Amino acid sequence: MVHVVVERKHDQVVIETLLADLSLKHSFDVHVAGGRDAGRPLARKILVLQEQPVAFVFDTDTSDPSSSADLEQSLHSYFNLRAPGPPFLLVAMAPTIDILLADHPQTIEKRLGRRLSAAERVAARFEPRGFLRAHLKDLGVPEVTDLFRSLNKTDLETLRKDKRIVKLRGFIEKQSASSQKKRRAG
Amino acid sequence: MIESKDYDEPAAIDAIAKLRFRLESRPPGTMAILFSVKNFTTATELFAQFAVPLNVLLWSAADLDKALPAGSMLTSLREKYRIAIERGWANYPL
Repeated sequence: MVHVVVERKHDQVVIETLLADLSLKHSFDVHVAGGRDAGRPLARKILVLQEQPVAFVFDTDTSDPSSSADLEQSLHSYFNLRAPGPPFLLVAMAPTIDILLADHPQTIEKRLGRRLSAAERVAARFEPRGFLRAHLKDLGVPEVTDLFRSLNKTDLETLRKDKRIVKLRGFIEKQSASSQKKRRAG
Repeated sequence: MIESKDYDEPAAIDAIAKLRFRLESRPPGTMAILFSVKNFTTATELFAQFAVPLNVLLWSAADLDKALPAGSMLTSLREKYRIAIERGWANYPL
């Protein structure tokens, strides 16, 4: 079993939506921690006590690449504290998971019925959640979470090809296949 | 020794550093607990983990939400202490 730990309920909806097709062939669970800074200890608890692979999907809360890199390095130290254990994967969303839509603006543009201006694209990438919240009425949804819930097949395919999601999906597929192989061998 | 933080931000390293400084003048084996309703930064957790000896246990908001309603503060404290001894873990989540 592979465990994916996210920080908030919103993140859980996004991840489960983007991984829904994997659940038919691979065994994984998405855990919601109690918010910011609660995901780390939960992810490590699963890694150390259950000794199963864990993917930790987290918001960096910054668009600055070097700050995001520092945070990722700290988290590597955090999860590598003791003797090598089960594999873990860090999936950084800079600044928040909503960057997935901002990095693929065609998903937003289709709903708005127009192209985003250059300034809007920059704003969306810098503060994706704020941008989406400001345009909820035009996007036709009450909450940002509903945007992800209502992705059509084309948009789902687009987001599933995002490099961060590809990394996460690859990790789940690899670890799931590895544990199935061990079960058969045992 | 107990300290609690009810700030808008996660507890930072200086909270642990100050606790550890106070512990230096106490008998060996004295432990401290740091409660924080906004949890802890990664740096704070790493510091609590790497500092020798491990004498500060961390309690997050989620820990309090589990232990307080169940009336299991003492049981939970023992469990956190046990994991700290067995695993060297300052912030074991309940």
